[in-house]
Formats: sequence, structure tokens, C-alpha cells
Amino acid sequence: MSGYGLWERAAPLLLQLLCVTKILIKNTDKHAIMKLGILVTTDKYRDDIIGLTEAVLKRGHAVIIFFMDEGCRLAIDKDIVALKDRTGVSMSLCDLNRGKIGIAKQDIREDIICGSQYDNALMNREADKVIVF
Amino acid sequence: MKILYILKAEPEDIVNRLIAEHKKDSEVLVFELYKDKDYDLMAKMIEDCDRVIAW
Repeated sequence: MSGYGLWERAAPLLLQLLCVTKILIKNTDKHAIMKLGILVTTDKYRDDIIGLTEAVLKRGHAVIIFFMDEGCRLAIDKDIVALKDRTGVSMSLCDLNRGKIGIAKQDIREDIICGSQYDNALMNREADKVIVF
Repeated sequence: MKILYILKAEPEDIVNRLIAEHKKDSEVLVFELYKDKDYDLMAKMIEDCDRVIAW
């Protein structure tokens, strides 16, 4: 048997082992890097979103923010948008909602993804915990 | 399991009933965001719990 053939057989097992290890680490170490999802559906909690995001980043974690409905108004708030400059913060919004509430696309910073509910789904998949504001 | 309830407003009766139900088989923590703005504590509580429910 050639070395290449052995590697071909071993690779899926190694990959599986890596995935299991990752799941075990995620489930046993609460203090490992956490990804917090923040679903923003209204513009009423601006200060809470900023305060919580900063506190979570200070603890070494990451934050994923998705804006939808009236929450899209916060995607043009300068202090909220400034969070995007911090390491570990990603942002996206529902472009359909943005258009419906009359926010021009050119007013959205270019590194904020103007996406869809698919990005909300991605956030829910990637985040360890999700909070709705 | 440790469940954290984050209350954005004074809880309605249904929320108190849900918390009471969860307390039967889980440890329940409550953070009253509508009157406590200690975000560092909130972040720590989020980190320490297994599930977060925001109302």
C-alpha cells in the first residue's frame, strides 16, 4: 500500500476526531472564546447594545450583530457602527427591511453586510448564545 | 443547566410563570436590564450560563 493511500484512509478519521475534540472543548470550557449573537429588532436598546458589546469584547469574546426591522436604524448610528472597528465584531442587516424603513444603501458602511435573513440564520448557527434586543 | 433570563422590561405574569417552570429543573439566574446597567456583570453572567433567554 502506498503512503498516499494510507493518508486517504486516515484523513476522514482525523477530521472526525478534530470535530469531536472541538465539540468537547466547546461544551466543557465555558471560558473559551464565546461568540455572542445580538439580534437587533428595534432601535430602543442602543446604549445596552453598545455597553454589552464592549463588556463582552473586554472578556475576550466575539460579537455578531444582525439588524432587522426597526433595528436597521441603529446600523447608521455612529456609535453602534464604531463597534465594527473593534476586533471580534461582525455586523450584517436585512437589506429588505433597510429599504422598507427608508434607509439609503449608501448610508450603510460598506463593511456591514447588506444581506438577508440568511445572515440571521448564519448568526444563529455560529453564535454560542443569542440575545434579542 | 444554568439559564439566564435577561429582562428588558418589568416582567409580565407569563414571564414569571416561565421562570418558575424553568426553576423546577434548572438553575435560573435573572438579570434585570431595565434597572441594572452593569454590563460587565451581564457579560459574565452570559458567559457562565448555558442558555440565555431575553424578554
